[in-house]
Amino acid sequence: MCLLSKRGSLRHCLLLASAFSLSFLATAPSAFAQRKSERQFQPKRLLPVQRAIKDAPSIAADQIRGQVGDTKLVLGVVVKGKAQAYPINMLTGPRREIINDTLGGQPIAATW
Amino acid sequence: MLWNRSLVMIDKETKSLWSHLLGEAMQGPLKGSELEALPAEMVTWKAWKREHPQTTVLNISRTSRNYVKEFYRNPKRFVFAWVKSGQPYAAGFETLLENSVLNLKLEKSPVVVTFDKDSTAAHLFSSVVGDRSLKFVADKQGRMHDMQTDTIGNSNTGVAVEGPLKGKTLKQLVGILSYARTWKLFHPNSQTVETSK
Repeated sequence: MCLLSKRGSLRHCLLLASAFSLSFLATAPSAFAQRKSERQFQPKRLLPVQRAIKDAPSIAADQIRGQVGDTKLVLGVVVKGKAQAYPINMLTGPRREIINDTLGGQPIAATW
Repeated sequence: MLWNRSLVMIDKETKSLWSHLLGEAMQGPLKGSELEALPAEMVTWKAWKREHPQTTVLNISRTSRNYVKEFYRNPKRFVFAWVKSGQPYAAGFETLLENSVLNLKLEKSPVVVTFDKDSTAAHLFSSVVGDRSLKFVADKQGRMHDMQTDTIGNSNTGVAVEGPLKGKTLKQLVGILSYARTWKLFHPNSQTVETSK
């Protein structure tokens, strides 16, 4: 989506945001296997580059009560025995598409 | 930025452009580089807490009050998908709703897909434990049994909880939840998983 932006036509972007959905976690810049891409890459820019989200706070599960309902979806991941959840209701919208984080000592990017 | 109806990411260090779905840099100094994908899942908060009591959770303001489980409204639109040895595969949500445990023999690497209707979580595991490959069936409690040793496992975590293989854990592989159309755009040669083999 129109990741990385500041302000702008957010409504437009939100609509597009619902055009895809996936759970996907990537480790931040490390592990580069070189692969020649033969795909035609023709991205469309919809919004300016967004501010990167990093150092966002996380807390223990029992401390979050009101913020995340039991039936709400989260993006869950375990790295080196450490489990972390990213509630989708905090990751919705063009400014919140990617969370740069560290889990179990490993830099990761959570996005969906 | 969008490409193929999917997000494009940019890294601040090199300004390379990355495909969200592929995890691959498509343009810029890091073109051709790939990020390592980690097994992650879309799951209800309740189920995640149950399987991972020690979990931490992101604590920032909400941007949306409700995120509904769209999947059930139109399961046709969604797939659980992965790439194994260069070959993309996709299992439709309709198939998963009917098969909570799906054994698949993919080339030399048998895998099992588990799906929990209540929490909407889909998982992909290698079926290989030690030197044997196992075949699984679901029980009424939503757990998985392997047919060779009748060990009972947690189908959300792949951990064997009862029986001869107790304590073993199936290796979780990367599978992602995607719109069927989007997956097809990125992987036109994707094979569709129809039924349990």
